[in-house]
Amino acid sequence: MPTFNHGKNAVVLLDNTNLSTTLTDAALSLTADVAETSTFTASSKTYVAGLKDGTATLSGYFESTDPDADAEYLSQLGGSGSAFSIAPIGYTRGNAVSFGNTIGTSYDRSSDVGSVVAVAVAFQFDGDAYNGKSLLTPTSVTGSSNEASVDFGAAGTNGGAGVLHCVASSGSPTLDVKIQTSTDEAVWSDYITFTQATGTTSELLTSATNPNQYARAVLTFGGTGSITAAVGFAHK
Amino acid sequence: MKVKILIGSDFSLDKKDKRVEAGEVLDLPDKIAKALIKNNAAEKFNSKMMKEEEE
Repeated sequence: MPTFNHGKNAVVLLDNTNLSTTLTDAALSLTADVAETSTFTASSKTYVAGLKDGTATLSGYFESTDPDADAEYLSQLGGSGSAFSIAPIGYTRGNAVSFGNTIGTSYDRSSDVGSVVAVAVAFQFDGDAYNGKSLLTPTSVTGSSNEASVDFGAAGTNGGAGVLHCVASSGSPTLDVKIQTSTDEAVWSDYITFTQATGTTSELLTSATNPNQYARAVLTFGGTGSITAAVGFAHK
Repeated sequence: MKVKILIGSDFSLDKKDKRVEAGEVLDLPDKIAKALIKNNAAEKFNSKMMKEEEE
């Protein structure tokens, strides 16, 4: 029996901004080119797989304060690319998350005399779009912890990728985030180590090493205050 | 079993959290050593490696 999910819990994180409270629609489109290899004597067309591609489109309301989505969209437009994550049923640990480096390709603002100022933005994935799971829902971190593990079903066979979004901070905090993987949920080995966060930031890292079946986020907090962080992880 | 750690790892040993770092050579309970090897985070330390370390 399938279990369907309402779209209202979707979470969209772009660089160091949680855009979720400003958006009403978020769409991810993943495509793969194919090249035709049909020849004489064939009765049906044949193809070989080519390059994969991905785009994302968002729409919602104009907001320039909390969060400053306007500034985020403007900085991403034609930029060098930033970490982008979209969790269609929410960023709760274990839920599906797609992420990658994206470049903003369009930003539309529209004002109508009878409605709220609206925005529509589009992004192009630069390189791979990774499809994995959340290891940490956006959480205000004030102490160190080993987060609960997430089962990826089997070990990875083509490397992996992790993404860290730090979307809010207060005080003078430091946060070291690692992704560890394990074959048995008892012995954990480092897989990806992010640069220490001292405020809002984002980072996407990949590893060619094959990850083990289980993954968890390890948070080491220092200083004072808090950092709101989210972590996603995918097998390639 | 004696192992050489290749990747920093965490586990519980004698009911205490234990952290090991890459490069360390340790004599660990077989169950933990095998799990580290399975994680590709350690390799069995043999006499040949011991001689290389001494040189």
